[in-house]
Amino acid sequence: MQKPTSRRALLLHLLVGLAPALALQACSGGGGGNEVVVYCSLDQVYSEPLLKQFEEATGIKVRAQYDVEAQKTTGLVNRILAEKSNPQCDVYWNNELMHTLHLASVGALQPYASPSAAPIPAEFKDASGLWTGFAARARVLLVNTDKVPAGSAPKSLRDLMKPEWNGKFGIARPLFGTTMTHASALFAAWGDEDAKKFFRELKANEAVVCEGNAAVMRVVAAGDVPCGLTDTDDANVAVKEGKKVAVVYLDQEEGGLGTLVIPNSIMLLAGAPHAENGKKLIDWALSPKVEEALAAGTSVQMPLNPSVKTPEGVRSIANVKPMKVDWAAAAAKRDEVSKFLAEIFLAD
Amino acid sequence: MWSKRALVLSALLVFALAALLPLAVMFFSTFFAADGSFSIAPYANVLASGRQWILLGHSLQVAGSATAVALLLGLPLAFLTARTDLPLRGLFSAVYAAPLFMPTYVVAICWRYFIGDVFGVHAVVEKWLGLDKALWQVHGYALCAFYLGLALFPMVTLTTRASLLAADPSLDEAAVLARGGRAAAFRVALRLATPGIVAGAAFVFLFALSEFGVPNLLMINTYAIEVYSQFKAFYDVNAATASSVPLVLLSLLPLVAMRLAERNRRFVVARSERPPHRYALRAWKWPAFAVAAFIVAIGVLVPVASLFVVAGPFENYRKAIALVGEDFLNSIEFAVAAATFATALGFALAYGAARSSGRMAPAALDALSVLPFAIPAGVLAIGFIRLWNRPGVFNLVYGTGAIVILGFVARFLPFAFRAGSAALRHVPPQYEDAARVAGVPFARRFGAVAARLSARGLVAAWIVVFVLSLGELNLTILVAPAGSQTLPLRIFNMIHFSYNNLVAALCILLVGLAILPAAVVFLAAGRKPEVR
Amino acid sequence: MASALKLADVTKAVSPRFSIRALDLDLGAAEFLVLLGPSGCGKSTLLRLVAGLDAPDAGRIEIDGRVASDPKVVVPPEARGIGMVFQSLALWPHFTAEGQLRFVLGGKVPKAEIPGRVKEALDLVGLGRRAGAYPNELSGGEAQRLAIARAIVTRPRLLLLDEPLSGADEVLRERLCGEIRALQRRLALPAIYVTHHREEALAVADRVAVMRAGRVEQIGPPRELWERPASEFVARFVGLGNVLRGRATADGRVETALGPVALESANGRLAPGASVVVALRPESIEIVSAGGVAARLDSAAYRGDRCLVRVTLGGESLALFAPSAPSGDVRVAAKGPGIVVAPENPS
Repeated sequence: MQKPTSRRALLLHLLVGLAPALALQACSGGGGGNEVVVYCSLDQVYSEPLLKQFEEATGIKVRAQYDVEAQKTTGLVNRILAEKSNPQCDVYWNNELMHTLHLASVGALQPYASPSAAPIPAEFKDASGLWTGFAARARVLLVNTDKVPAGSAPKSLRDLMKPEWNGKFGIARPLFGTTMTHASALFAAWGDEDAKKFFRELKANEAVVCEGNAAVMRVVAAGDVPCGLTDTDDANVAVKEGKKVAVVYLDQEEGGLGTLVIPNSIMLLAGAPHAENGKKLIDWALSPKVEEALAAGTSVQMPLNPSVKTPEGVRSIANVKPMKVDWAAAAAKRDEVSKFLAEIFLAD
Repeated sequence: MWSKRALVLSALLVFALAALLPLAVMFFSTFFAADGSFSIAPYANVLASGRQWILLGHSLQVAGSATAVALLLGLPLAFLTARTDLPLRGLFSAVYAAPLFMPTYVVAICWRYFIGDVFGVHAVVEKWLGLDKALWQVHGYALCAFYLGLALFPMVTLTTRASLLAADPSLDEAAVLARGGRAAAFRVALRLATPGIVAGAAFVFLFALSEFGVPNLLMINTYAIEVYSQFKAFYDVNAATASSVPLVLLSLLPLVAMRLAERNRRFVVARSERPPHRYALRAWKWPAFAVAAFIVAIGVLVPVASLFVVAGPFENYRKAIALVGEDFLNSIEFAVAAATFATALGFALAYGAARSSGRMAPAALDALSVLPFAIPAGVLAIGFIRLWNRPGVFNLVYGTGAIVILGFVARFLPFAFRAGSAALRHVPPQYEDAARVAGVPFARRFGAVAARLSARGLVAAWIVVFVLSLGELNLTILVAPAGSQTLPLRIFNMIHFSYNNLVAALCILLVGLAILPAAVVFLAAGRKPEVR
Repeated sequence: MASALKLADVTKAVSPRFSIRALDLDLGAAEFLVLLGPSGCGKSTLLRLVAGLDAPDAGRIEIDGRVASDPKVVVPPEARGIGMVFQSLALWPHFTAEGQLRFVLGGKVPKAEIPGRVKEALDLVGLGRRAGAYPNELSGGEAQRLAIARAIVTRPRLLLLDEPLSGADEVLRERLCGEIRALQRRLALPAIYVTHHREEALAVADRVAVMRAGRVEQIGPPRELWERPASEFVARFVGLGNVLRGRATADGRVETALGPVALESANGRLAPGASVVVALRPESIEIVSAGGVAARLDSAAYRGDRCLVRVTLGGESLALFAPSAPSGDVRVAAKGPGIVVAPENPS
């Protein structure tokens, strides 16, 4: 009785799978035609609808490759680097800056001064036009309002080293993603000694290390941990779900460090096969409409173009004290920082 | 005209080209610094600190314990459904493989969040154990073994059943006559299924060793995470490649185990036209049923039920399908093609190894076939890009879905190779010799005798490669032509954004895809008159 | 004397076409019974019923006076005290020769005794020096001996052998068969031996049971089957391949297509003119240069010392021996006496 089952099941599966597959292969031609290839590290959920809009507006077919930051993949950056000798991609839409700087430093980009980039402040774009920042996230503290009475939440990063917060705050594993970026920025801002001390103390203060920013958000929202460091877009998910949470921007006082703002960055790759279409895509991405949409959506990304309005409750760059970051210095320190953090957080 | 030599040589060639060449490229370049000079610098840092050795130990621990759990769950189910008169065994046989169709990470999410948090099972257990911290913080390793074992035990059941069902009943009858059912079942029937059991265990071990998602979810520090963090941080592909060597060496462990287990004792046994012997459970019938039902319940029912609840109203299924749409078809297409090619290639290689007179060549082949899987997907992918991303004719491969299929075939070949080898253990060479003497040309001998008699094992191989391809993420992101996205990407995105209901709906559909054909066939077969 | 095996009224479906029905059988204490019959006649099925690997639909089986199977009770195979040699030998590939025997003895015999018993059984079959070999390392004959050793090591009450010499060549068959018989006598073990080879059966059996389509056509010592076959089927099967129909004559002979045929021994008075079936050994027909009856030559097969010649006479196929192959059609006549075959039993 088993033999016919497995044989027929196999047949059924083959039919189920091959028929549409063959049909699809027949339909999808090769490349060519009016198209642009974009590698996109900003979560598909946010970027895909916008790219579709571009497609509809211009008639240029967008072929996009997405990444899943949450899964700690090797990332599209490595793909761009590996493809350098025979580029397949036109535009890279990164959701942070450090990788962008690395790409610039190895000559993977070509300059393009987009007219849409003009309103964006100088500190968020490359002087020679290799890349432009837009729509930023901030590193914030998500606080559970049930567990933390109003006014008693930490006001500064350094507060997390204090004994009263022992075991009471969460962070994502600082080996990847924005947490890593944050760490590099701190190393650049505070100097090695200070920064190393900070992280050692965080660990000693029994930080609840989670697998990612979203996980931090979840444990804080659930009340398992009173507060945690995460990104604005993850924090906003909890807010949208109506959980009892509040978003705190740390180090906002006069003379304080400021909150780290991590912009998206968009760039034209050297040797792009469809450079003209790529430029059109960049123009469009940096336009106020897109920043507005990103601010209005669940990712609540802060527009860097001062003329773009943000919806109610969403902070704009104007009312956040951003941390001053020497991105080049931070990028240079990445290797060292990564090694150090691995020693501390990828141990036992 | 095909001959055995032609088949094996061409299979070896395809294997070398598809799987080994990218690896060779990667390893070759580790010995050269950026300026072209020879250097072994990348290797200097590998396992340089005690911390890394500890991580390696953790990886081993996770792999070993997951394998143990998978055996604990998978073996009894295999034996009970294949070789006893267990009630409802047909139904169990049809549904047990369902968990394989969900990515392991999703199974873990299901247990960790849906069942654990949403249904409060974790809270209950924590109370029962008197814990003041979360269950996953205290018993991360146990949970990791549990989740991985639950997600992967069908692999063990699949390959074990293939071996069990290839048995000659007179061997069991002789044992029953001599010692009775119990001794016969454990010391003969089960022992003779060793090829299948070891193959399944090897699958689970291999997979769990390089698994990243589940240990990361539970904040367990393993060596795989170290390699990934290097990749992500350094852009130093050479360092990442070099640091993956320890994992690769560990991946050879199951091989050694297999060779040891099969020293001298050939399990090649003449087949019989009679179906395999079924053991009568008698007094043990209902306890055995309870055990099987329990395994199927926690393996299939509980996760699926929780998915149903979290999925919510029917509308979510439509939303999920709408969201996923073309990605799903892409994934199926890649997975079906990869499974088919990998099974064919793996079987051809397994045939060459099984029918060779030497002992070194099969062992070497075994080891080599594991490499593309043991290497982190990112390293393999970069190798592919370096090899195939060139202008001209190469675009036929690199710019299309062919590169993805090639990648999957290269990566999941060891599973097809092992399953094929295990199946061939039960096919005596005499059967092909008889055909050869009768004048049957090689191609027909290979297809109608060797492949036909290995059918069950080949189906197992196909299914394993299919589900692995369906859930593969890291390789795809790096080599897939932009514009053709796959399912796992969607799923992981949805998980990240807590679109739990949509994720759940999607998984129900995936599981349905797995079970439906089997269930339909099972129901249809049930109506056929008994054939004696 | 209690019978070693008693089958009463045993019924079992063998194939869609026929079944074993209400079969009775009695096996003596140290008797060597051969079940002889064509393939598919149910002899292996019968053996499996005795072994307990299948259960009869009805009837009663007693082994050594104890009930093994009846409508109320079914004793499992391992409790019946049976040693069995399978057609495929069923040697477990993962046990060495002594491993097979040790496995079989486990739980039945005190641990301390096991090595001694194992050695004894292996020596008995001449495999003393091959104790550590795996089945795939043994020659055909050694494997067969091992299977026998495994069957007897437990000192069973009954030995069952299901075509154990299938794979063996002629010389080996003869030798092994003789060895099996000698062993059985030495151990005074009741045994049932299933085969479709008649020479073997006739050579070693105490009694032969000829089976056909689930029924025992005739059971008796080999001589009896030979001299007084109960039916045409039995006659053909024991080697009296030439069966002719004829009429009894006044002088105690039978007039057949072959001419008048004398009868062997007093088979009872036959009424002159009565319809009779006569069976003749091949040795009882000869080719004659004069006289006799014309027959068509079908084939001649060289047998070393003589030729087996097949001819057709009056629609019947006859077999006879000749010193050399004849050319062309021949004339044949009866040389020796024939044997009266009991009238065909209505099936």
